[in-house]
Amino acid sequence: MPTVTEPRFLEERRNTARSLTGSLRLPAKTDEAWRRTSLEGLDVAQYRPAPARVTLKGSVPEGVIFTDILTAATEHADLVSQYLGKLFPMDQNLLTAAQAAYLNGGALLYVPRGVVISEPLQVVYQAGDGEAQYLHTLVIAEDNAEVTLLERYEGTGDYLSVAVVEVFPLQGARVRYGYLQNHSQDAWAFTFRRGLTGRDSTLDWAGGEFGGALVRSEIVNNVVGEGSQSNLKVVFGATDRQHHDIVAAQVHTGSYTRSDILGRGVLSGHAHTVFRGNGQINHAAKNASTFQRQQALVLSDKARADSIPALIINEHEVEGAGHAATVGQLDEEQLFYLMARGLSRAEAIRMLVLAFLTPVLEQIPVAELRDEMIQLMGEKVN
Amino acid sequence: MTTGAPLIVRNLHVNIEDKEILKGVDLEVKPGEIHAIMGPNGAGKTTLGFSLMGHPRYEITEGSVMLGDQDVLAMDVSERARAGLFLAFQYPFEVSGVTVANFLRQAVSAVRGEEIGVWDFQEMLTEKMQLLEMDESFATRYLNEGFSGGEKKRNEMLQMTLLQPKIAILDETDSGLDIDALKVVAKAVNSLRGPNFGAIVITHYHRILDHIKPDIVHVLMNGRIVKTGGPELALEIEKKGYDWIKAELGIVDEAAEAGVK
Repeated sequence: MPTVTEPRFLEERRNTARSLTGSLRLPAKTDEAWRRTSLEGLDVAQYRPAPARVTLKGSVPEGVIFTDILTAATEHADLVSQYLGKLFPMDQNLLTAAQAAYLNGGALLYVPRGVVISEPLQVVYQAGDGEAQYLHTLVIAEDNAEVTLLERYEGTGDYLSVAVVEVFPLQGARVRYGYLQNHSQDAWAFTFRRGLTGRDSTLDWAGGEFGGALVRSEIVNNVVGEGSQSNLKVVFGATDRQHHDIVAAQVHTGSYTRSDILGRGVLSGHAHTVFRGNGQINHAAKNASTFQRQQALVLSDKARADSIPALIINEHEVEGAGHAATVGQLDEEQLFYLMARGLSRAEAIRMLVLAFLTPVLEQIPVAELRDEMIQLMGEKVN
Repeated sequence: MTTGAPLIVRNLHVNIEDKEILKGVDLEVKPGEIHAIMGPNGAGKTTLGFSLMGHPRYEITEGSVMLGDQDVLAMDVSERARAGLFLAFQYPFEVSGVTVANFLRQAVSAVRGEEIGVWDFQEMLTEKMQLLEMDESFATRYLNEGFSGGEKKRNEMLQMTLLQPKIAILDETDSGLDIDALKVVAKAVNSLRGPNFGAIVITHYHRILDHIKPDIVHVLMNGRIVKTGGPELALEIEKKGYDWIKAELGIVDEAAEAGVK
């Protein structure tokens, strides 16, 4: 529990949330959105909310605020209260309520108008056995600001992580948000990412999902500002008995907006992944376009990839919309060709897996993130 | 190039999906020799190449294949390649996401049994690409993706000249090529000619043999080698086709009868 006196708004928020935890339950398989993910065995109460271990990396110019969320709530109360939870209500289920009630880590990145930060800023979260990590990150980029933020999740043992990330690029701003999820193989991890684009802004998302025993990871981006754009890429690698449930959504309400969703994953062992792509163009979002492509490569007989693309178009004047989803195995003929040139079967498989991921990986704008993903994926394939 | 080794095929019987395609093939290719195997469609030419290389769908039911003193049939595909066997595919597979250069460097490293440095490899690659009249940009393209037929065959030849096999099998490498591309293929094979290199040029047409002079010519028909001769045999086939051989040996061409063309 926090030892400093927190600002009123945060205290009140926690109180409201705490009472909600009394009445809300965990998402159940009867909830449509959670149909493919069972939370049986999750006992939220068994994890103790310890102060989260958060490390911030990167230098920022004058006027930029880059600090952990609890410090930010105290020192920049007006700013935080203006944005905290705006895109993500706390009353959805027990997890969302607990996250708001026991918030113990996260970050605030605020970039004033016109400021351009070219080097990526990073936040690293570490969790330990038995802990509950309740995180909240806010990214606010004012008009024409430019910034890249990377968040990294690691830990050891059996723990619970519930994180909310809200990103607000205002008019003309360009924000790149990347993440690397490498939680412990025994962890429960729930991450809810939301974005809201300002006019003519760009909000690009790039993520890698590698760890966790059970992971639910959502990116729901609201493409609201006229002329705004968003690229969303997710790479996932699941082995053993991992369960990854990924939601990637671009919801258009703004006209002349563009988005795409690109997802590629590799499965082996008894892993189960669900990839829900959702491209939505609401009524009055004229001349909008949204395209999505998701592919899963399954390396073993027992692994299962559920590919669920969706396009919801409620407007006549659409610039374009499309989706494609495939689930496949390695091509034995290709393997034969590579082995006929001296590569062992294992080397050939590695080469084909990397080749499969390359088209998405090479589009990840931050080299460091890209290289780490390649390494993590390589480890998963072995 | 390391020392050569003879390829000795004895009584090779090969099935595909329970149908016998090769019915007892005998073949001996000594280092320094270039053999041509000709034959009508359906004779089993591609089966020969694929089964020697170890393609999983081809089942060897009888016979032996030795490369020097090594038992080829006891080795898996990659071991055969590392032992010095090379198959130039008729229809090379596309591998999107893997660049030609990257793939070749790994292949050469695998066959040599040691990692080749990036710079050393670059030198080798440039040299061979010049020999084969290939543009530099080739190396950064994805393996065979979007390649024309001629480009794919050139890429096969590039691999062959870099890997420097003991025995190279060219599976109808000439099919679908124009004369310029054909000359490049011949250039590649001829550049490897020597006391440590043997080759089997499998072809339907005589044309490529104008540019790669074979020492010995075989005719494969109905899954067996039915006739062996010198280069003049290829000329006879060019002039007269295969029917005269069928007549001479009293063979009924099963494939032709079944309408395989």
